[in-house]
Amino acid sequence: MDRHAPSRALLGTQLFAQVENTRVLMVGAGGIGCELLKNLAMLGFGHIELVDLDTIDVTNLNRQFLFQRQHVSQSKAHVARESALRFNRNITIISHHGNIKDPQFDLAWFKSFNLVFNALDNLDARRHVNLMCVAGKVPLIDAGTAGYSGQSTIIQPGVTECYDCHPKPTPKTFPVCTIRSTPSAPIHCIVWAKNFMFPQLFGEDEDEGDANLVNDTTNAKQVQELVREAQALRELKRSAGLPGFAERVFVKIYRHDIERLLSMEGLWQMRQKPVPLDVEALVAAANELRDPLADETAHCRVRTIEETTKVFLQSTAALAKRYAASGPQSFDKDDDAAMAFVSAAANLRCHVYHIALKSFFEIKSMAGNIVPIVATTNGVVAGLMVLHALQVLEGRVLETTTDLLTAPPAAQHLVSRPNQVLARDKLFPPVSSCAVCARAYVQVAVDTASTTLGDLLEAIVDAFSVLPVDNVTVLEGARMLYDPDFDDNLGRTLADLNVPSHHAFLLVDAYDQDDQLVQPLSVYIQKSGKKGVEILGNVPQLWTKPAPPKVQDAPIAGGDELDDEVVMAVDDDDEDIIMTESSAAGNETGHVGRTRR
Amino acid sequence: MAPDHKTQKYDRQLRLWHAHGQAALEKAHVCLVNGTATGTEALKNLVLPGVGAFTVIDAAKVSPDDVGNNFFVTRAHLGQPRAKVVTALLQELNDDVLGHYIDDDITPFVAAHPRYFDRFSLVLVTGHVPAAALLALDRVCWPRGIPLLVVKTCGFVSTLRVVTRAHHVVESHPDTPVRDLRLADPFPELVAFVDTFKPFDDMTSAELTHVPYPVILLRLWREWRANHQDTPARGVPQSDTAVASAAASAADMENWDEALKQAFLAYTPTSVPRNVQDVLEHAILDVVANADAADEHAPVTNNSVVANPVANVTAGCAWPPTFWALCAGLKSFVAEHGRLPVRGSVPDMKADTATYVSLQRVYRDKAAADAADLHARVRAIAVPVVTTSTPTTSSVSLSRSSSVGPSPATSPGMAAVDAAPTTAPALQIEAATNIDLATVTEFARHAATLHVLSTPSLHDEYARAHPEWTRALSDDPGMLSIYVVLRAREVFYARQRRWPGAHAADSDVDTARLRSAARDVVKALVMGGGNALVIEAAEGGADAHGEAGIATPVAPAVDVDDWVQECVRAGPAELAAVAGYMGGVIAQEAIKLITAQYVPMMNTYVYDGIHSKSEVLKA
Repeated sequence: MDRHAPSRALLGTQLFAQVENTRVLMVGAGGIGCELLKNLAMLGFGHIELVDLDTIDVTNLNRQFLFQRQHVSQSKAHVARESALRFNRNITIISHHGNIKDPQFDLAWFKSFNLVFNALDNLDARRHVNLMCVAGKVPLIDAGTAGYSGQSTIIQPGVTECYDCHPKPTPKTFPVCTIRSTPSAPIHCIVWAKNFMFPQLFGEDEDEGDANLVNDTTNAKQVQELVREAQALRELKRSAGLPGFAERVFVKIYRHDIERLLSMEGLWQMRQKPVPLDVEALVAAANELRDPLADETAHCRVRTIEETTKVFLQSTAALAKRYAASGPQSFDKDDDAAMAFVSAAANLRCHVYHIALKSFFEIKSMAGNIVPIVATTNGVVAGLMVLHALQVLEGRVLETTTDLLTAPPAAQHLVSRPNQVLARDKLFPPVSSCAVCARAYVQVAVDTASTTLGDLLEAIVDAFSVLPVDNVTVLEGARMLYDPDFDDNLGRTLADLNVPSHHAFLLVDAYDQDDQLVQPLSVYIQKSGKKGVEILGNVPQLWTKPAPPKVQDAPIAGGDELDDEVVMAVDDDDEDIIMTESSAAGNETGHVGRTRR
Repeated sequence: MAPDHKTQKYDRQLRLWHAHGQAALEKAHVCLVNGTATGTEALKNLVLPGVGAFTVIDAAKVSPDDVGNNFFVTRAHLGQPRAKVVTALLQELNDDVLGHYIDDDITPFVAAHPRYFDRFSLVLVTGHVPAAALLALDRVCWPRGIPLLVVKTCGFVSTLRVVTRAHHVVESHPDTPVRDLRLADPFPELVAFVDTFKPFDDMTSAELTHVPYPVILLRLWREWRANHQDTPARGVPQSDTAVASAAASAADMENWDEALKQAFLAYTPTSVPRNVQDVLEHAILDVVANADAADEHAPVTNNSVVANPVANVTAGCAWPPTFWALCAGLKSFVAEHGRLPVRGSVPDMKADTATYVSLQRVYRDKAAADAADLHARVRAIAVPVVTTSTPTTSSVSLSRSSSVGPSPATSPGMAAVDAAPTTAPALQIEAATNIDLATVTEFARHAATLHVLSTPSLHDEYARAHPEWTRALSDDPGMLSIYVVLRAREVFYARQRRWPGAHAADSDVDTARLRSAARDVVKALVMGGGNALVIEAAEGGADAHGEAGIATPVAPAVDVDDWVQECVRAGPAELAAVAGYMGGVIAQEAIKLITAQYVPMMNTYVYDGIHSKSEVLKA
């Protein structure tokens, strides 16, 4: 029996042969990944590799249908593979339980695929896969969902926009003083509880935060107070796990710290003053109560101050005990004690500052930055991804390069607005200023222990005749390795220069010369045992174009403003909220708190 | 203190439709006609989030094609009843869901057991179903107010038709939050609040920075009105100037900037939006209003506009008939006050905390007063309330160990149905005194975003002429041609008793016949009578029309040849990726219908997977 008969009949013999012989990589085996793997397997894709570093969580089961309760805490990649093979044994599926940024997934490996699917849950990995695909010229289908909305986009390197052609919104930041001294909204108190108080009490001891605060001299007195506050807290932390710890913390942060802040008159001229808690009365009242969390139906309403005090005291005691027993803890929204602590601590602070309290459920949403996800949207998007893949295989993306702006046959989709289940956006050519698309890429095999930067540069300049010998710079990320006025590193080996052992792109940029611009070049360092420098694959032709007149800065091209794109969050995304210094000068030295990823 | 397993498992989706949406989903019973790849995909997407129960009606046996395009069946299932196989496999995905199946064909089943459908919240039809059976299902679902979703798939193209008689949405979750400040029509309490502020001229600059922008706008607007009594009141741009000059003197104050940006609110009256007017003018409210206590026991089953009459199992059960009682109350509220109840929430704005909290209280108190007013009106109204008479005992859960008899006519569900006392859902008039204040308050909060959405019945769509499409048909049929060809397949079936493209050898003949059927469908769209084409199997009718058919002046010649050929080429095969895509779309719309949240797509959705295009057609 030919189990692929329907696919063969509908796709035609030729396209189906392509499907059978195509090597595809899918990154991510979560919500979209499960649906995608099912579609690929059913359609008869002959060789599928999948990578996912995650393990299965119980909250995945409402949509990630390849997993069942008995699989919880096992590797997503491996379980997804086994489940899919149960239904189609005629294809090859290789699963990798690992991070897509691991060394083994190098550029050569990416280039071994005909097609890559991004079904990822975080911005950083999504951008990495995009970079590798653009560098390796491998077509990428990128997708994401949030609630009832979702999208799938074809990224054909050099032909269409890439994932990085448009900047993505950065996580929201708050000034430190708003968080630490003068909150005015529930989110400020939640960030305080989660990103400041939780790590201070139960995380690793950190001193750098204070050092950075001291450097900010804008409000010396306030800063001094904050430092003293933190020191007192560390003092207190030594008694974690001992009886009365939770009560001592309670008294400190809701009475003493508030009283200290109140002593700074300047802060309150324009603001309503906070009112310290009546700690004795609240602790006494709380002791009379039974566990308020036992009633889960109350998660959706705002608990009383007495109940909240009770929750604070019991969760603080529980976390302190854990800290004393097994060391530093980090916040996890699915950790009941941590979530109870954050919700109670935030609400008590809201109360002190006359801010409206929130329910446990609302705080969990805000603290976890939880994106709503549902099986239906994942199904829609994964179906689109495969149909987009067929368009790529048929070459129906490339056909249209000449007239891409007016008549793209393949497109980017947003789904499910009222009365508009599937909206279609045009595909645009790469943005000329894109830091990923605008570059040429070349892969170079070197022995990092013996090859010097000078050797490498010489080989590059030899291979690319348009590069002006005396007028190039070499950077690794933001680090300057070489420019005409800085040749100290030429004699040092790449290993000595600490060029990372994998995914190292050296950026070779030519200064404008003879009124012409030369395309910037990225050099991917492939480690090899052989001495010398070997350029792998074809040497790309760098474009050159006349430099614009240098009289004045040209206005930003209008084309960039076409980007009214909705940036979708993706399944499972939880980027953290970061606190930064309020920095008019763009100085972000003082990251207080921590980010989880 | 671990959250219960459902809250945990459904955490991510609860953030989309909340606990009461989940409750509606868990109460719902969905019927799937035919366990095709598309149908199973859709059902999978309802089973995973926890629909209460489902029933698969299907007489087919698992075929090699099913193994090839349906993820849920394997070679080992070949020859077994498809309804049984997919029910068992779908059931495995979620222990909270009850799966039932009926190993019978929909055509005889719906004719023999129309009342069996009373239990369903939603009926979904997939696969190749003769139009006569679709129309029979429509005749069953339409009077009962059960939403009917009809999916037709052919190769890379697919359509989804949603048939609902009156679907209501209370929480439509608009993209931009509703802002309801009533600055153009301030209520007395708000005016009194504004009067508690000193004149701006007497304020220190610190005080000026603390005035919330609604207060600034209300006061400036009133002053401006006092000085410009002859100028027309609405939409006067000069009011901006008034704010601007006041704001200029309060430079660098963010609250004054906000006032400038929001100045339009001061002269934009709060109207009753179109979608709400549609609800208040809905015919069912006349029935509600005319039902007085004397008629308390008079059945109104013949009333033609009852939405979703079966209370506990029907889609949107969270609200009707409560919904209509509330709407009747709202109608009376609007008639007297000329406005909707105040929503009661205040957006973030620059102001000191104490003032902001006081302002919030003004709106909140007004909202509470309005809700109480509405509550009194609702309690005074008699509404048709449905007593649940659906016998729950007749639902049969699939027992893995139970052996299924080989005869399709005697599936285990059937005996129970026929034995059960089948009382028809009776409508009774009751005073809506049991609607509590909390429900009314929640309803009042959403008063501005209510919707009632209706589509024509399937019968109406097939029977009547579609003048709105006539021009499109001759100019640029676009995706309408896909619709035409999918309807033509049904005409083909009525004439040939088989589907086009079933045998490769007949492909030329099939192409000619399908082309001719398409011409007849176009003609029917222009002149009406499309239902006759699929009901009466006019033998040789296709050839009788011939070339002369398209020469009729009213029927435009529509070029649907590409799609005719594609349809014959594809035959009955389904593509897994299209099934996956459509399965997602269908389930998404089904959940919107069941939870009565978000505004669902209405009418006919057409998807073209070859060109990645889609369109919504209004039949």
